Amino acid sequence: MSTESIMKSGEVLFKDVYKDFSGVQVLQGVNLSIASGEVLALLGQSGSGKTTLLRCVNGLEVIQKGKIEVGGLAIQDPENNRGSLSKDIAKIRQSIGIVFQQFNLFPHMTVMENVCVAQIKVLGRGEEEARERARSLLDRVGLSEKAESRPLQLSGGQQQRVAIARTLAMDPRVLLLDEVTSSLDPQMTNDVLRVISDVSKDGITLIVVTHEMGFARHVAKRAVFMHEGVIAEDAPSEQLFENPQNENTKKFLAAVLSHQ
Amino acid sequence: MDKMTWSDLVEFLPTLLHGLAYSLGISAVVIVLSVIAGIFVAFMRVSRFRSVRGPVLAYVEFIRCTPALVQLYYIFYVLPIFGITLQALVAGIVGFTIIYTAYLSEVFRAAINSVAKTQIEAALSLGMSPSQARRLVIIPQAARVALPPTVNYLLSLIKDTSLLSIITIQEIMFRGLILASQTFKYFTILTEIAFLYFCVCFPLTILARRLEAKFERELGYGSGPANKKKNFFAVGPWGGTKA
Ligand SMILES: Nc1ncnc2c1ncn2[C@@H]1O[C@H](COP(=O)(O)OP(=O)(O)OP(=O)(O)O)[C@@H](O)[C@H]1O
Ligand SMILES: [Mg+2]
Repeated sequence: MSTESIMKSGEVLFKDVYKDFSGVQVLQGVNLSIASGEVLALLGQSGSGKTTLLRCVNGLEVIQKGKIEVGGLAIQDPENNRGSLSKDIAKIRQSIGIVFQQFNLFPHMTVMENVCVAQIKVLGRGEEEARERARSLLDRVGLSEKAESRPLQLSGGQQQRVAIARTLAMDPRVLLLDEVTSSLDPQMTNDVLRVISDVSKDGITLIVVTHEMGFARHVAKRAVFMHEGVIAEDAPSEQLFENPQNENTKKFLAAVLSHQ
Repeated sequence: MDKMTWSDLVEFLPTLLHGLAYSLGISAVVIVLSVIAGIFVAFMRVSRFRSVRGPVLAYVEFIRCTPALVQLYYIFYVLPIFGITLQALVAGIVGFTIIYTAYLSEVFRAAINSVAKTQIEAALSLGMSPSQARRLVIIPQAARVALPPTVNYLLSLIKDTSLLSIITIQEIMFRGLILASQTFKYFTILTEIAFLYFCVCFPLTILARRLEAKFERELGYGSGPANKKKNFFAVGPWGGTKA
């Protein structure tokens, strides 16, 4: 085992991606190309397919048509590879971090063990090296004193920051964030957003699904609006928020901003 | 009715304790074998392949829906008709292992299913292989969920071994009944047997309850009532707390 990433870069490519759940079309021809190190805000109404799109990137969902590439590697290519998912999917996932709305920390492990387990078992790092890395990441997310706590002893915001540290410990090239603050109260939300904003300077490709419009605008230079399974609008965030072109984007922003 | 005296109780104790040791020894062997086999059967029950799930389900349901007494008689008295003769002790151990494997596999299956799918996704997303996810994430959590009910099954197994008296195994019940038929001191002997069972089993019920509380605190979910709807009577039908 080596800690070398098998990815050349953090570039993410969707080519005409189709996905349905037993007949219900959810992604209907998504074309999107994200440069390595770019920070992208992914917006859209509930049910537009944002979560599904993110989950396709690391193969938690399987697509029926089209192609998804990360760092030049075909993650999913159903037309040319009938099993659809790459054989190297586990190896590829090491370099694609994902953080979920519900944190999904391992409740039977301490915070420290949560951040170390994949470093040791997947990347093959030594125990001491892994703990050292975990300590510095927990410090970065402001939780060094919680290392020996269990996840359930932490607040939601603290758990989410541990989840981010757990993912960063793998040195991902791409980081997928799916409404990571949606189940948190405003104070905890700010703590988490501060961490993400800090991470966004690391040169990791970041795809951020969020309903925090102010944050999306601040953290991402580029924003895309998804509507009914396709990319309806793709623009620099300044422009998408100030001067949206697509009718659905306008409606969405009007609705969301009137709530904030 | 015979009069219970200390001297009788003391006189019968060594014989009964000897029998109890037998009961507990058999229980220990059976529980170990059943846990191992039960884990395999549980994973077969959640298999993707119907050809694996089907037969295993049939076995589990057959055992659950026929009395242990009938099953033991079957193994000891009916199988020999078909040329399969097992020594009493072997028949007892095999019989109870078949029975408790079925029971425990249900416990383990439920425990495996209680581990959220999102836990597996989190593990896979970190680059773990499916077998690593099973080993590092699913099994440790499932084991915590399964342990308290497993202790409860151990408890019922210990009591069930009294059934082995009918196939001539010299466990506590068998020895007690022989003593009783010789001395006619049924009251004394059966009371003493009940008391000895209680002394072994009661601490196990406490252990099961403690483990359940501990693991639920740790995992936030588990096999016990804290995970289910709040007690109807404690909360009251309209949400108010009972005075
Ligand atoms: N596992 C599934 N099985 C069936 N349908 C699903 C599944 N997952 C998602 N869907 C459907 O796919 C559509 C897109 O869902 P998705 O979760 O991707 O939307 P979303 O944009 O993330 O919405 P939200 O903002 O509410 O999180 C929805 O209509 C949803 O009902
Ligand atoms: Mg979603």
